[in-house]
Amino acid sequence: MKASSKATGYLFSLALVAVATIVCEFIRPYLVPTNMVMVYQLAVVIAAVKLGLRPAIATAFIGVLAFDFFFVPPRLTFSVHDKEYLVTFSGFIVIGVIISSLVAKVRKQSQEQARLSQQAEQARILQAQDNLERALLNSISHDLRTPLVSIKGAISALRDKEGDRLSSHARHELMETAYDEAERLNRFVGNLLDMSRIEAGAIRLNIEPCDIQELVGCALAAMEPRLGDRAVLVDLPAGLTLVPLDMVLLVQVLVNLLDNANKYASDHSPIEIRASVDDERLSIAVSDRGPGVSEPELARLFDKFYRIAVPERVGGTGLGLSICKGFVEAHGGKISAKNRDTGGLTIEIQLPLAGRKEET
Amino acid sequence: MTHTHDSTGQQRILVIDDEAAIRRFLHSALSSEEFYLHEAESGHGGLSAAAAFRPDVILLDLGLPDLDGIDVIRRIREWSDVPIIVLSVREREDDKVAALDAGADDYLTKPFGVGELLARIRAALRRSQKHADEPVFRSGDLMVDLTMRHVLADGIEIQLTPTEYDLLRLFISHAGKVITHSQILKQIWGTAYQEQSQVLRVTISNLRKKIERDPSRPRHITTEPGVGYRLRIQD
Repeated sequence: MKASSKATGYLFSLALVAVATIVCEFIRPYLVPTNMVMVYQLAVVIAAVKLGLRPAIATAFIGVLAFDFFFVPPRLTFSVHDKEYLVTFSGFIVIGVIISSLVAKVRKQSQEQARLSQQAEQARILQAQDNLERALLNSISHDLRTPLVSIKGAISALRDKEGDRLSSHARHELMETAYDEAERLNRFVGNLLDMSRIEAGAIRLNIEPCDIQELVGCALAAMEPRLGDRAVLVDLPAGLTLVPLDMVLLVQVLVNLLDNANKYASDHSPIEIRASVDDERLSIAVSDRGPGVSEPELARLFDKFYRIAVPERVGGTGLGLSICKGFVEAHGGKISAKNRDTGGLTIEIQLPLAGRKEET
Repeated sequence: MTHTHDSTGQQRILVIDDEAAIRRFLHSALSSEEFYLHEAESGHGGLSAAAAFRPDVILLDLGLPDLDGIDVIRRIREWSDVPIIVLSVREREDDKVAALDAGADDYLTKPFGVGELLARIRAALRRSQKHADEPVFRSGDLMVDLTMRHVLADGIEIQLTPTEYDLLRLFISHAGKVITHSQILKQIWGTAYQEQSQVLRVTISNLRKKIERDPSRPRHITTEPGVGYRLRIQD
């Protein structure tokens, strides 16, 4: 491969000299031979820029021979009558070599620069991956360990001999803590599994006609223990609306959106779910009456491991919304967030139905 | 399965799970005056224990090292109707459906609470040991008189279409247990309707509108996403 490209380089040198010779033949009636050297010098410069150092020097030498043979009297021989031409020849060669090496140096520098910027780009990508991996490790060590700390602490307090002196109220509190934290740990492991399925492109959709009311009902049932006494206002299309989607994934999306709203909503304020269907799409919006999200943070909301700056009580894995994004996109849909005029955040998902909706 | 429980009055539970920690936890949580536990740590061990120990209910982990859990269910079903409750992890909805369609009675998603497990075990035992169909089904504010075909929700008589009534009766005969979509379709509409899941969705929706106080938060017929439906038994 390399040898053949080298050979091609020298063939191009020959071709350049041939072109220069033809040009000189045309201008021969108007110029003395010494000035034709300029045309050959041009061929050397072109060879230096396009082909590199060695083909350029080769062009210079072949050029001298061609010039001597075709144009230096006596023509069509290599002999030279006027010895002054020998000065012209050596001048030509020296200038050709100098130009060639200068051009070659410039070429090499620009190639190196390109390589350097390529390396910088690769380093930047590696850095970004590194940051993500670090975020992942931080998240895992924090989110796995925090519940484990509470679980182990609570259970060891109950298990140790010292545990006997605990009041029944304290024992109850410790057991509740261990139970709640085990639930949290389980959710985090579930989130990690969902995320890895999305990352691996291993989402297999199981599309079936689903009743929107049933979908919302399942999400609310799953969220019930976490919602406590928070009200959820539900606004769904009247009558039965069946839409083709993967119910298991969409329930998970709604649970994550409700969980997110529940974390950020101010005390006792309700969460709202609104769904609408037209011929083209299903839209479901979940809104809270919390603090909302600053404009620069809105765009990053669906990034992996992104957590907006929040009070410590709002523990989250930073995965919930990116999982929503992954599942919605697996349906060919879109997810977006915007602040409400009245305060709080609305996250809306839109799934294309492409005329597959069935109404009864 | 004619054998019910032994002379001490204890119900016999066979646990088939390869995880020692889970067997240990189940042993401590379930062993009592009410239940006697036998443990098997593999599919083959479970199959021979099912024949030798004659359990009243089997708790089966689907992820066994030697045999596919679904095969264990099929091989037990060749000779026994003993209730089988499958213990499975969350993200394998397909496995749950396959296990139920192969003849499992119910499933529990790991990790589960003991309260939930006890409720499932008792519901399974009640179904397998009841001698004759009870003429009246009661659960929460729902009352169904199966001899008179009367349905009352919150004390008010409800008019159901014949299909809705058949569906409700199917749920009552499997009360507390999950039924897969394909099982319902086959029983109510026949094998030709196996793929007609929207027919099922429509009927469920209509039935819920009639018997649930808030159809968007059903208390009687609950949905198990990706698996099927369950008629919950309430006090």
